[in-house]
Amino acid sequence: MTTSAEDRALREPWDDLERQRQAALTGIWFFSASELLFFGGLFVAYAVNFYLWPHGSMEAGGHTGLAYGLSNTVVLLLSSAAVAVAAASARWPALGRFSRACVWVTMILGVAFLTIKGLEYRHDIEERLIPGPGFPIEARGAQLFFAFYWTSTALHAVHLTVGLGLLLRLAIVGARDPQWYSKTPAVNVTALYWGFVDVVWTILFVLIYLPGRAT
Amino acid sequence: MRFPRPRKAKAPPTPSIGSLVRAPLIALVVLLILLAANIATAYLNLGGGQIYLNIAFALVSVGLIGTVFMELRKENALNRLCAAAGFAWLAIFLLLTFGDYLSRTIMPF
Repeated sequence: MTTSAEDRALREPWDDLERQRQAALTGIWFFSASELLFFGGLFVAYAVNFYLWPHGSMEAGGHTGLAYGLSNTVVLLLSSAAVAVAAASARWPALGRFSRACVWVTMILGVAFLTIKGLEYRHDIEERLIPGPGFPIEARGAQLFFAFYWTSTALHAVHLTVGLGLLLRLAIVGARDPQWYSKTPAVNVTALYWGFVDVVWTILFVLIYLPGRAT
Repeated sequence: MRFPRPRKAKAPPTPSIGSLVRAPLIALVVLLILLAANIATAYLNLGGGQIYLNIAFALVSVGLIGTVFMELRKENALNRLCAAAGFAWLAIFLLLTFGDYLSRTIMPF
């Protein structure tokens, strides 16, 4: 039995694609707001540590790999622009191929981000920048700064990996069923999730890589 | 909250790729300029005050990502409220925490 593209894109409990779209978009905005608070706990912990140990925090910030952080920021900004174009063009069947190409570009940039992150982690491990015995920076608060670094960047990488999975699903199902791709709200929802991942990185970049550069 | 009844309208004509790409592309260029400005600021010696300037630049970037890339400018009031709520609660979180820390007497170690 064949089903229409509308039926394939429509999910319970909605009986109308437009309402499903409105609900899905509100849902992802709610989710992003709660996720912001999830990362917010880390931001507040960072702020308290910075307030209590400004010198240790700045010295630790000076030991982070700015080149890695900067290239990752550029890569993620490019990927966000690509996914924004994918979302904006997805609903027009004539632009389906172009939109899915943008999804692939986003994925490639996402993988590039994780690769650069991996290289950065290797560098950090070689420098022994892991809180605990043998930590190279003596100033108070420096180990807490790096505890924040590892926790927040790892959590961010997990979020980005989830985003890659969602994008891969769009690319695979979209190639098999282009009509579904132009109807489903999943493209916009995935793009918003990816945008949120970029928002978190924009904040993390400033907190991690920029302190302690002037000294 | 009642959503407006969706109308069964005829599909609008397919826009050109150029018209879809323009806004994200301009935003991307501005974001890269903001990033460069932010890094330049980090190297200024403002006696530790750079971090506030850096965070301000980051918040402008976040606003741009939200309004253009995440199309918040086209969203309805409810979705804008959701986005604002996340930042409002984060502000409350920071305010209450620092209401405590800034009013403490911290004993020197």
